[in-house]
Amino acid sequence: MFQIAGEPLNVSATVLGYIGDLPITNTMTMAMLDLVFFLILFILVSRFKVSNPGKFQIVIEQLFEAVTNLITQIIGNSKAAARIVPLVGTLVLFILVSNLVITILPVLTGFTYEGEPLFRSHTNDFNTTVALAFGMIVLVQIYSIRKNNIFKHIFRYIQIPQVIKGFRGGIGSGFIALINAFTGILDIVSELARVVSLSLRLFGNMFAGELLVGVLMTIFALFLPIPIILLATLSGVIQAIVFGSLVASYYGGVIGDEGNEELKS
Amino acid sequence: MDPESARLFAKALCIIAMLATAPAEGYLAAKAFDAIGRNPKLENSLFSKVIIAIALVESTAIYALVAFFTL
Repeated sequence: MFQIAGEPLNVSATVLGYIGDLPITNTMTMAMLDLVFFLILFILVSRFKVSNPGKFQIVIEQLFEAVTNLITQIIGNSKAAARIVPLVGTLVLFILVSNLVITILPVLTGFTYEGEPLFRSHTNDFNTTVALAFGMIVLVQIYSIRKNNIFKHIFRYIQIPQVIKGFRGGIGSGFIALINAFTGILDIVSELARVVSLSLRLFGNMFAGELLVGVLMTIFALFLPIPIILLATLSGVIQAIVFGSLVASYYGGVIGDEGNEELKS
Repeated sequence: MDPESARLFAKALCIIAMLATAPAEGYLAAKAFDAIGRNPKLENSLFSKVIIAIALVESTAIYALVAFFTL
């Protein structure tokens, strides 16, 4: 009794239909819904007044302050942080809303189209998280190329001139330069590992949460899934913050010690 | 060994690989409480850092879980 039957959640999203050659999955429809919500939010934000703020404006401005403080703590100096705050703030907001919509409005899972659920959480699809992670890592590389010129950027990974300079200084420093060169080549692998780890962390948390709730519903649906839903909601919020702060820390690693003389905290 | 039972063994190994996050996160939480006990004024600043650290440590277990579900 109190059991709700259902088939376990599939890793790939279910395809609802086709537009030409492009498959439309149920995560895409949820993404459209998220975009409508963001549109409304941004229209409301564009009407903020400077002098007499309402309650909503104060909440949004406090969120902005919180994100700015987090990024300033991670990067270290506040000028570079101010440059990256629009990007990372939007990222955090996007992932936060995508993770929480299906918990705040569970009525959305009731709409079905030919037996398949019409809406599924947008970050529950591996395509979304891989696209976000890949885009962010490519962006960090572009920042690095823009800050240093492209040769300095390539010679961070393939450290040929450093090895030559090390061997000119003696055999000992030559071998140290060789070890650094090996670490530089491993850095290329670590960039790919960053893409995989960023995407899998976000996707894994979201997917495991929904799957666990589905499985518990087939066992005893009355009160048992409640702690799991709470845990999944909390981990959705935390994973959004972690994603944003990791992107900020990668950016902070790329810009180096720029402006260490203006250390404000 | 037929492929079906080999697949089940692989799934079991994936779940066993998640074993190590329990002592790791417990140690992290213990060190966090130590630090808060030494200097209670830093509690707000430490809290978000500890949560981020726990999420990062948890990520290996999440990779193993995803591997379990795609087997």
